[in-house]
Amino acid sequence: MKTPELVCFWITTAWYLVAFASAIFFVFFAREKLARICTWALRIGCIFHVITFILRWYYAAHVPLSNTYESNLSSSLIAMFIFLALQIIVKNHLAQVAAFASGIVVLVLATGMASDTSLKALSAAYDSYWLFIHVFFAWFAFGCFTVATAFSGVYLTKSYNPKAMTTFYSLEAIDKISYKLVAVGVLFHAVMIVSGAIWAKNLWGHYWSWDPVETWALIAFIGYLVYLHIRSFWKVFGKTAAWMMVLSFIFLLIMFWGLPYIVPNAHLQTPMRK
Amino acid sequence: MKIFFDFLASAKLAVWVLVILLVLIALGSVLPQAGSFTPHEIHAWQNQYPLWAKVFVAFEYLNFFSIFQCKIFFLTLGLLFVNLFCCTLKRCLARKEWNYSPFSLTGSGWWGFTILHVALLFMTAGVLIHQKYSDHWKFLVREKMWLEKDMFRQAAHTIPDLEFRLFFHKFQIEYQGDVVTKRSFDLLVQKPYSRPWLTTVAVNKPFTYQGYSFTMDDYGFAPYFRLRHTPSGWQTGPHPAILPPLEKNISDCNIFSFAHELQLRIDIFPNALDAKEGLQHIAYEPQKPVFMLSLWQNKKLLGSQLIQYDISKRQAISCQIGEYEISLTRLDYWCSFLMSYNPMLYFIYFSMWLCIVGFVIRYCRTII
Repeated sequence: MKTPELVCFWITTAWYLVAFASAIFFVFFAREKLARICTWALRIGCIFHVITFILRWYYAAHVPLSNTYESNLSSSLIAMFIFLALQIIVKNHLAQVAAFASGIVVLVLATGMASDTSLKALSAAYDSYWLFIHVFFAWFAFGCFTVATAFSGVYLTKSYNPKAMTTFYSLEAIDKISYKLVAVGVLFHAVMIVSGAIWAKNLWGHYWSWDPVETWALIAFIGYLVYLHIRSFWKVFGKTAAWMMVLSFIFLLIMFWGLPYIVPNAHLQTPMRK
Repeated sequence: MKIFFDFLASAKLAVWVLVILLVLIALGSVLPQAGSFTPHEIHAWQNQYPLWAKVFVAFEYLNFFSIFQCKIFFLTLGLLFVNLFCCTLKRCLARKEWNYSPFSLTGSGWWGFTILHVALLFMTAGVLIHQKYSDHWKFLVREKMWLEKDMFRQAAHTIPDLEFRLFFHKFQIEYQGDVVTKRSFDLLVQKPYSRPWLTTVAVNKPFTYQGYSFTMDDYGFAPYFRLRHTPSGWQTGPHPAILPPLEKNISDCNIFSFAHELQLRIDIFPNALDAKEGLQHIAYEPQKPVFMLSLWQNKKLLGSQLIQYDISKRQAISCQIGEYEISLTRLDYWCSFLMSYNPMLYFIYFSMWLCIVGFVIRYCRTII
């Protein structure tokens, strides 16, 4: 990792930490100023995040997606984009959600930094346009699910403690926003699975080989499908739906950051079959 | 009848089937599967956790150590298929006497629902047929090698009689640092009474011929060794060793046994710096693999020697261990070559994309 990139990375993390701290203070003290600080810290952090991403792309001479660090850098950037876009769409600081979202993003960045950050050429296995479709949609899906889970977290906090976050949206509105985000996320996740299957066929000769990461991607997908079904047909809203979403997000975390470290597999952060 | 049909078409059944599927798949990823573990390993695993022995026996009875091929899994998939079929039918057919309101979801919602579920039906059917009739075979091929009828048959009895034969040549590997950025070989397909067809197979670029797809998989070095007893002149013919590529951070070996209880062990060191003491002086370069040759007689080590082969020069090199001269005469590459028969594959791809289209139509209003 080169110095300019390293500097930008730490500035990004520092701004996100400022955002996280101000969001946490906002939850307790509910000062408008803190929400504004949080939003601006996230925006500045995101600018440095983009610079880090571009620098990485420039130094590595390929889209940053070949190892844990690059994957985490890109996926957290997309999660942050989705959150900031949502802030603009709903015209609200969403500071309570930012507390969850920025916390998750900082954790993801930290995990990336703890792994191998050296610059490497893109191996032959990654030389496929299906990979870009697969990975970008995986990141978009992850971004949507992260923000949706952050909303669910706020929903659960608010429903268990009605006095908390009184200035924020009503429970019904939070539930609706997270439902919409899950719908978008499921769509992206589906594109990710389909493009991954086609890429796997070209690379390994099988479109589906029950690789642990593949399997847990399907488990998370089924989890979200169950969520959509129970909401649409059983009219299950509220806490049950929110917990269901948290559970599905845990499946997703197992897929992205659990399995590659536990089980040997030919996926994601572990070196691919050359 | 109506109650039964309603049950089969219900979202309640869909949710429960999905939950069962979720649990089965999760179990499949946690339990060792016969596809990747030997029965001996499963047995060792059972011994490791004796408290769970009864659970293991139950799992074994239910065939959960091969969960993706077990009856329960297929039954669940079958039930999902029936559920999808009934719920789609329920919304497609307006039956006044059954009092259904097929357009309870209106406009894009109805179309989206129908397209999504029909596509899921297609996909499930395609997957079930594919699972039943697909097959794949793996071959270890070397440069300048023919793969023909007898070898196909030798590799697997399930391969049908194929009229064509394959010739592999021009194995190419490109490096950037220690990363392989390109890997390919030329393939000549020869069929009686027709013109030969030359194509290039590369990583991520398989080719399809007569319904079979051919994929390039793993690869490595195939050095040829010759052993010669200097005083008597007795020598063995060149033996091809099959060794893994340098990128994999492992060392692997091939052992050749000859007359007089003589054994030659050939190790490859992916990174000479990490390997063993005494190797530090050898610089690590992917184009110059390092081999360690150990000669044993009657289980007694006669000696070891390191040799470094320069792929760009392609010159034979040799070393002396005791009375024996060991030569590395030539170095080729090997590659594992996957041949597969995938019926309904494009149908599955089509239905997957159709699912996405259906989903977009179904949820576009919700999202916007």
